[in-house]
Amino acid sequence: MKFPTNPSVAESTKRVTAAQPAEVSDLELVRLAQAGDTEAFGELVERNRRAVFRAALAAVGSATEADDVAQEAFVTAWRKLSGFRGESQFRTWLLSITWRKAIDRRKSVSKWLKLAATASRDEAGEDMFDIVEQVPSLDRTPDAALESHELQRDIRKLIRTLPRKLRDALLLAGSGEHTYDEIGRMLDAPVGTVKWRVAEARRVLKRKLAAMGYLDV
Amino acid sequence: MSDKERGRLDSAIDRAVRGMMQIDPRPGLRHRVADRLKAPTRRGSWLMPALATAALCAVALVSIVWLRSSQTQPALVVPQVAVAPPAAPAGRPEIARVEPLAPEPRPVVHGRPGPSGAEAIFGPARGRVAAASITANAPLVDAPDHAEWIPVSIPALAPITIEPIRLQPISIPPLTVSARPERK
Repeated sequence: MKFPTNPSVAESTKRVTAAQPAEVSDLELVRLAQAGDTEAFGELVERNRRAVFRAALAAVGSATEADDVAQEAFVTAWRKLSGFRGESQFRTWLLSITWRKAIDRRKSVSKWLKLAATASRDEAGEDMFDIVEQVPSLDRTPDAALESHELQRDIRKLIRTLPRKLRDALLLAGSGEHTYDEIGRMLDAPVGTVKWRVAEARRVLKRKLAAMGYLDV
Repeated sequence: MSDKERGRLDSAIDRAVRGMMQIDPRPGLRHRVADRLKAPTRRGSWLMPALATAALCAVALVSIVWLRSSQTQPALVVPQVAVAPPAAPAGRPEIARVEPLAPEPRPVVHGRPGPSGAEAIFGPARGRVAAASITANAPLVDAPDHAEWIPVSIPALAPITIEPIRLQPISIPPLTVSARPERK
């Protein structure tokens, strides 16, 4: 299903977005969307979907919920689009909306209930993130691969136990989609504070790993 | 900085964070957003009236429950024990008695029934409490087990008179030293 379209504006957007997709800036697409062009907004969704999804993922920790939060964020952005004055970048504004939605979701009771349900699954050693790391490496011996797998699992567990401020900064910085400036806007903290939190999160993780017997060779 | 230079744990942390975060959304997010943009108009057509009706029902239910509970709730009884006027003769215990306003059914007293004719001091909810001074010839009811008569053994107090304090002049007798004490 496509976005509901306003035919007259949609035609002009098709010309702009189809003929010169790389040259149309976010701000131009925003102006078109503010005029009612849903195709332009669809293009904005396409451009920012990964950044929005990963910001939500950093907060809620579940791909399914992050997808839901991302949808909510885009819907909210569409409804509030008339209030966007262009004083900041659209992406930054969108990420702020996303982060607020994600934090609301994280605070909700249903989220905690689901966390309790997934906690038992984690105890059994299953983890949605493990799928990525389960690809065997050819240049490692089976023992080394097993040790690395256990280390990865332990690190993920430790990341979940970090204080939220440290964990949020670490995960957002590691998402590969957000600049420190964007992270600072989302977390409402100066860039220097964000960088300190990331470094502190790593220090805490390494200290705990050392206490568990992992050596930093 | 390479992984070897950074150390094993640093690179392991980097890998773990990448593994947790570098996930892409399911394909079709754009279409799912479009669907959600359409959805509220359909849902909103019945959701808001339903919510309003439910809220009205809840308010009505709470009002009914509150009204019923306020009707059946007994009035507060404030026990009052009147003390006899000071002019009553001393040496006799006073007995406070409750006189109900109207001939009401006797209050239920749990436990042993009291003597006939006795009135509960904490009895009827809208009873009027009156002070009763006992006359010199009135018989004393000594019934500590009964809930309806409570002897108040406070004797009548005589009016307090405070006499002015009279200060006696302090007289210090003159000190006379007769002799120095001898040292041992």
